[in-house]
Amino acid sequence: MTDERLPPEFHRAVAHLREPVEPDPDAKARLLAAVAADRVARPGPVRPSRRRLRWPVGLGVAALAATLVLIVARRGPGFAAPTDLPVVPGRPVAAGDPALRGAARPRRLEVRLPPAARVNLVGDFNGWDRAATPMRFDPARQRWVAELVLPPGRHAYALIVDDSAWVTDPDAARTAPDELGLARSILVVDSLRY
Amino acid sequence: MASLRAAPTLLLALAPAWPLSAQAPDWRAAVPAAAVPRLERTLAAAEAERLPTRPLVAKALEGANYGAPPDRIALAVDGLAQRLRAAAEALGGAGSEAELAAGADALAAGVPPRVLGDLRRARPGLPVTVPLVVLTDLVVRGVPVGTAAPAVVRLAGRVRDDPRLLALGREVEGGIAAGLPPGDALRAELDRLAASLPPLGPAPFSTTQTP
Repeated sequence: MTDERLPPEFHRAVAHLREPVEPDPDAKARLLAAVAADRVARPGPVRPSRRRLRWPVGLGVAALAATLVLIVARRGPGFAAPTDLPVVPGRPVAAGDPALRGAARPRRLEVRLPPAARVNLVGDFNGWDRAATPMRFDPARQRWVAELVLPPGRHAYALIVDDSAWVTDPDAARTAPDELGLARSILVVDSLRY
Repeated sequence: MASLRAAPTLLLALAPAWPLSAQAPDWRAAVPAAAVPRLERTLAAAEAERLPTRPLVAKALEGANYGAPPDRIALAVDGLAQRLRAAAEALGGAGSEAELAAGADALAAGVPPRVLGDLRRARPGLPVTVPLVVLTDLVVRGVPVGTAAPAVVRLAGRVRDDPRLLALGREVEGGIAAGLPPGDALRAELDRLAASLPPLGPAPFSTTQTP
């Protein structure tokens, strides 16, 4: 590309810049020396940069956090495996009983009922779900038993006998029948605070 | 910046776990669809009045799992909302969820609202849930409310530990089971308790004018 209107000095300058440039014969040696000096200053194996580590580490921490959340969620309100649980007679629980104070934890509910083939426990602690808490019969104590996790407070519950009859706990305080025609048993946990 | 860049990773990793941590199912899915609009209105009104909504949801679930028809469920939840409102007013406008629920039960059993206020004044600084539960139980078991209410109010003021109050209900239950009329069973237990309680001072307010 030429332009005859440009002055001759301009064409001479362009021609000069287009001439090949001879490389500095010592440049490569200086570069190698600089790299060697840098390695001496930071001994040890070459490691990936922090930027390259950030995502894998973040992912690992997140997976660990998710696992912890999962464990906590599964240990939340619900029904616990039988352990060495305090016995909660089927009546309001007194605050004076040290076994029943504090936060939610496994508790044992024992109910005295006439002979039955099946008893299910329903209450506000399990969403009144008749399938959630089947009770088991303890022949030694002649009681129907359930282990459950109850937070402090007032809890209403009932018993479903042989999948049909909704009855109250004979040893517990009870309410009057409401508009549904149902009475409920009442359990109070940690009653001095609630 | 690094933490900001890690945040999406954390959220992605937590996403599968979050639904398990929020295991409370939506009550709407558990009750008949025909009852949902009315229940939502009742819950919204209760929330606006700062009444506890958990007992209302529990009542709806109770009715649904019992197999009650939608209009009966809605009626029961409406009735409970009204009693919670009345209990809150009778207890002086303040009360825990447990107290209000126990107060609503007491009102449903026929306890006059002013008795709730008497109990509150008789136990300053202490919850009245257990006295309300015991009083409701006595009335449901047949003790006349005019006999049970002043007795429980007086005892609630003198007996600060709930085991003593709960013992009242149990012992009266035992007397009834032994064949005593409910009112007589309560009187017998009150006589027995009187010997173990400190002398009773003058009542700071009138609690004996029950119907």
